[in-house]
This record gives sequence, C-alpha cells and structure tokens, in this order.
Amino acid sequence: MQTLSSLHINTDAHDETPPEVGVALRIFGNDLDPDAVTKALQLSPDHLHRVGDRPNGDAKYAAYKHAMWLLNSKLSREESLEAHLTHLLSLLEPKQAQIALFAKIATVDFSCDLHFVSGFSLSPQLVNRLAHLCVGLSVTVW
Amino acid sequence: MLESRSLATSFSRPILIGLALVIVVLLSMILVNPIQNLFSQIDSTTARTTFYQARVKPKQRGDDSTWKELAKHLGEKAGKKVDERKLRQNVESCKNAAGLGGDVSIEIDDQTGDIFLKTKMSEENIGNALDGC
Repeated sequence: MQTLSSLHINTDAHDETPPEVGVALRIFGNDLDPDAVTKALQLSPDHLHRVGDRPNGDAKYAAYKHAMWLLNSKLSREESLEAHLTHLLSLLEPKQAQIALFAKIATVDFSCDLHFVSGFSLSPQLVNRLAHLCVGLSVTVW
Repeated sequence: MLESRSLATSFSRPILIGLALVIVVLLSMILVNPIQNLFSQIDSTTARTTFYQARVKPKQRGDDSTWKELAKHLGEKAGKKVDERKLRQNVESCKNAAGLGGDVSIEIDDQTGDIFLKTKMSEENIGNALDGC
C-alpha cells in the first residue's frame, strides 16, 4: 500500500506556502534609450539602466550588457499570472504602436516569476491579446 | 678469534643503530610527505565541496525550504531577520535587470547573497539578494 502511494506524483508540492507571482514588462537592447521609452509610453519605469551601468552602481557587480526599461505589475503577488498580465496589457495596449517601434530595436517581453506553483494556464483571450501586442513571454518557475 | 668477533660485534652495533636511524628518517621522508599531501588534498576537497554547497539554486530545488534556508543563512550572517518574500523579489529584480530569460539558471551565495550567472567559460556577479537591483 505504501509502495503504491509512493508512486503517486505530488502535483501540489507547495501547499505550505501560497503561490507568488511577479510580472514585469521589459524593454532591453544595446541601442535602446530608456528615457525615450519613458517619453513615448508616458509611463514611469520601476527600473532603468544604460549599457555599462552596474547594479546599485557597485563595481563588484558585472556591468549591464543592455540598456533596460522595466515596468512591474503593481498587483498583489497573490494574484494569478492571468490577472497580472491582464493588468499590464490594459496599460500597454493603448501604446501598441510605440511598443512595436521599440520591438524593432530591442527585446520586449513580459518576464514572469512564479513561486510555489506547479504550472500555469492562460485563457485563449489573453493569449490572443499577448500575440496581438507582439510581446514575448519569459517564464521562470522557481 | 673471540677478540675479533667481539670487536666485530662492538663495531657493528653502532653501525646497525645508525643504519636503523637512517632507515627511519628515510621512511619518514617517504611516507610523511604523501600523507601530508593526502591530508591537504582532503582539506582542499572539503573546502571546494563547502564552496559549492554554499551556492543555492532555488530554481532546481523547487520548494520553499530553499528560500527559508537562504533567508536564515543570510539573516544570521547579517545579524538581522531577512524577509523571505523580499528576498525572492530582490532575486527576481536582479534576474530581470540582467535581461535573463526563464531558462537561465542562477546561483545564490548563502553567505553573501551575491547572485551568480554561470556560463561555460566564466561566472558573473549580477547583483545581491539582500539589496536587489
């Protein structure tokens, strides 16, 4: 009996800690001017840096290879991935033309960090909206 | 005849003692060095193992105990309580700022909190889990 139960795969291994989700829009590239992104999108980034800058200005860290403009989803980390992406899409869809211009010279993606989840699913509507905005999806399941 | 035998005995005893001493010295030279080398190798192996064990790969473990352990280790080192959720957000911020994709693995030093991106040829310190980026 014990052998049988040990064969079962635990699909809810993280039941002690509630899931956490963090999502950020990243626009990064060698030729990117982060200030130009701020101006074009009329949004204040949560983080920006230029090529050669270092984390916290400390020389012990490796210099950044790209310039970066980053906007975090401000939703609670207990919200679902779908909710975070929907929230960011509602901010970004009106700026679709500007984002498309930056996508020509830089990488534009939603960086998603998922903690204590076994996986995720997205609705067809959301996938359609993501595809329409031509923004990549980078998912880290920690 | 008797005289010559006792002479030989009295002459050979110091030589035998001398020879024994030389053999002991030689043996100690032959054996002690390898033993010392062996111990130093064990030491360096242990040190190396400890070094690698100090790096945490939360992504590979996939459970919350890794983050708890990391927060505990860093808190003990810093002499303050380290918030586990904040720690996760800081690591995310450094990974995101470095432009890393979800398929890239990082390691965190559980003594300093430094976050390392390892490549085939080298490794880069891309930030710190206590400070964020």
